[in-house]
Amino acid sequence: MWTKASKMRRAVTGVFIGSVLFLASNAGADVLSDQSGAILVYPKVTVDTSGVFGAPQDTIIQMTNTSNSVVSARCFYINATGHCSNNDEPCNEQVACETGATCVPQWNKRDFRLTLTKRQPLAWRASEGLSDLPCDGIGSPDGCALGSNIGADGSVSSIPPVQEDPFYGELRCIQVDSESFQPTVGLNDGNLRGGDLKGEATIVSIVADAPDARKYNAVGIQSMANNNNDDVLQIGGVDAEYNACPSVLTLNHLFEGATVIYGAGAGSSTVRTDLTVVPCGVDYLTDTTDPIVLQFLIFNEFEQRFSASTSFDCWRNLALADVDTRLGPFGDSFSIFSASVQGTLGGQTRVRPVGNANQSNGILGVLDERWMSASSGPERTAATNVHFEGAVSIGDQMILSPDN
Amino acid sequence: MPWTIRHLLSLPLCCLLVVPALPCAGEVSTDLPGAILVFPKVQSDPQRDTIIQITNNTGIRVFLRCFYVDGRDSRDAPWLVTDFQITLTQNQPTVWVAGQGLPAIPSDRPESLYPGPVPPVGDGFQGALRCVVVDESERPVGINALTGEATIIDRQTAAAFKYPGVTVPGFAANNGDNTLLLDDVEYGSCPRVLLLNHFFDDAPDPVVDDPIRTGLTVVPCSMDLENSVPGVATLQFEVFNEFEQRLSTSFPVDCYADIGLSSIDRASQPELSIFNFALQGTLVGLSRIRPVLDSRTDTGHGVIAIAEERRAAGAMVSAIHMHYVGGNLQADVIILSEPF
Repeated sequence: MWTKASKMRRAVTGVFIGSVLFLASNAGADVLSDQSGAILVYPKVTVDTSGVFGAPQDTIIQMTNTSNSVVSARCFYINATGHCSNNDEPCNEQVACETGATCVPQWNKRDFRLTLTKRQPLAWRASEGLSDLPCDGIGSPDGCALGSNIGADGSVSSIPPVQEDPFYGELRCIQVDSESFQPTVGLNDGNLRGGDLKGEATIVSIVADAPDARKYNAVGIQSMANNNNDDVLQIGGVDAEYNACPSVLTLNHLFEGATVIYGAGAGSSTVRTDLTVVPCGVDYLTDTTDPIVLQFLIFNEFEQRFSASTSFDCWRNLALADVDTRLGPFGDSFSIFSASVQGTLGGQTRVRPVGNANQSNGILGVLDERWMSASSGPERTAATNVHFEGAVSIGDQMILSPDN
Repeated sequence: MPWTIRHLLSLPLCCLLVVPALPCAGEVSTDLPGAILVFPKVQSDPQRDTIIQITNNTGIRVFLRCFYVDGRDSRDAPWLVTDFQITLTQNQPTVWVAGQGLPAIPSDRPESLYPGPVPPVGDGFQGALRCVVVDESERPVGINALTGEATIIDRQTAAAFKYPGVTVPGFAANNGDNTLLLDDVEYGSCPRVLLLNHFFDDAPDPVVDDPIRTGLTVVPCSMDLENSVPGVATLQFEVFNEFEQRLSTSFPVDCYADIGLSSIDRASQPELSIFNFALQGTLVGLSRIRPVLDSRTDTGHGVIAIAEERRAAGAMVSAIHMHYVGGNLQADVIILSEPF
């Protein structure tokens, strides 16, 4: 017969084991923009050097190996630039095609390999790439003749430009083993081997002959201990290899058309906000994606709540006011994101992806603010990362195309 | 039951019972809600002002004690602290311009929905804003409710840069006193290492060929508001260029520092600085910033920072959000002033 004390010990032990199993089987929500990761996602990369869609612009990509070891990565540019169905001219949600034609978004990838020496930072223009990585010629009998950043398999690192100009899309890099180039956990015990890559993207444009720049952090998805090194990356859920994507994105934003006054006679500015979203799960093997429905819950400063929804396939950049109205400026003043509808300056929007039985349809995103001074001058921009809450339950899969 | 087993049990049980409202381990973050919110840089002068956004991410009403700390050179103005209280209803966002604040009497809503008055900062203010979640009797509580953003904007041109407030998670083991321990028990700890990816000063922008300069703003995690003692820290910098070459320097911080990278090592000429393109020879660098620890337990030396990338001679600025590595091994201490 069990004594009272032994029953207590067994109960406590059961809870303890249950707790450990619970924790082991559920990925954390460590998709973070302020720590390094094993998967690095730059949700918004834009190139438009000729100014087809507005101000000429390009994106500077910065990527750094934060560890004290050589790290390699497999990277994928995803091209989501739309083209008109009748003449193949580039188009987007702001630049329409001729009457009768539709803007057909695409989704194709360009991949490349990259090896970073310890603690190495790199920067390149998305429109140009980096055919020759920095080489100081030290420690190599051939100087820089054989190139730099050579992987363990002898391959020289080289970064191609994006697929076309104009280009709208994303960049995603996965940390891989420097010899096999298969996905792997991080090398740094300092962050529990969650991954060693971090990065930033700076979108630089020329507006009225002056530079305008906005910068955001790439989102890092941290690896877990049980990475099986194959090309199917399980992000969250059962048998997770990487931490789960967030269940909710939280956007702290000013409502569309809100005017911020700095005091009597001190000027004012008006702001509009763009949201860019990408799915956590992708299939680079078959180049297919499923539509994802996003539910929006909007709170204003009066504790009043509104909701809306929209959907996207693989990449979407849209003004907040276009979530619930026609694309473009038409009807923006009737949007629930409009300051004139809400009656307050600031709002909180919670964005929840709708999952299905097979995957959670987790998403990542970034915000751009477009500011216009009341006095004069061109539009100016600022970017910021969104906040995360929770973790999706089922998880998502990222399927890489074979590397050989 | 042996202490070690009790200790082991406490972590998973705590996680099971209180997730997700109270995470059981954590460090400062710019992504996740927290119980302390820090804006390292708030500026209000004739050229620029700061738009503060704070949001309650929970479904309950939360109360905040907030502190503006004037970080200007202490020879001109001693360490000045202005505090105020605000209340946020469930999921309520609030916005104000630092130079304007919020009026005492709401003009557009009932008082029950009004966060409360926020004093305007003085002309020329440059410093930090911190907010702590408290209960109705002003006792600190570990409710991770807050996220926020600060937008520093040029009043005339609307050139703006925006950064997320840094949050410190609170835990269940909060004793409710005015001594906040950032020790991974009461609150999360400040970072052990801060990582800054930056262009070396005067490096040409790859797109517009314009020289880029970077500024760094640092605030200590520790501070004693009761006795008016600001936090201090010594920062060690390890700077790596694209050739894997490493150089280092150090820099002391007392209360608040806002400094250009090339001024950190006090080079007599900027081009001689280890943060300068002329010396490093590559476009970008990685700076690892590590606060130096000591054995004190009444204060710590952790820091929080943001950086700014300046183009067009400072007319166009974009914010750099720092990355963090690990929790600090020495706890930081924030001592709030006693309500009376």
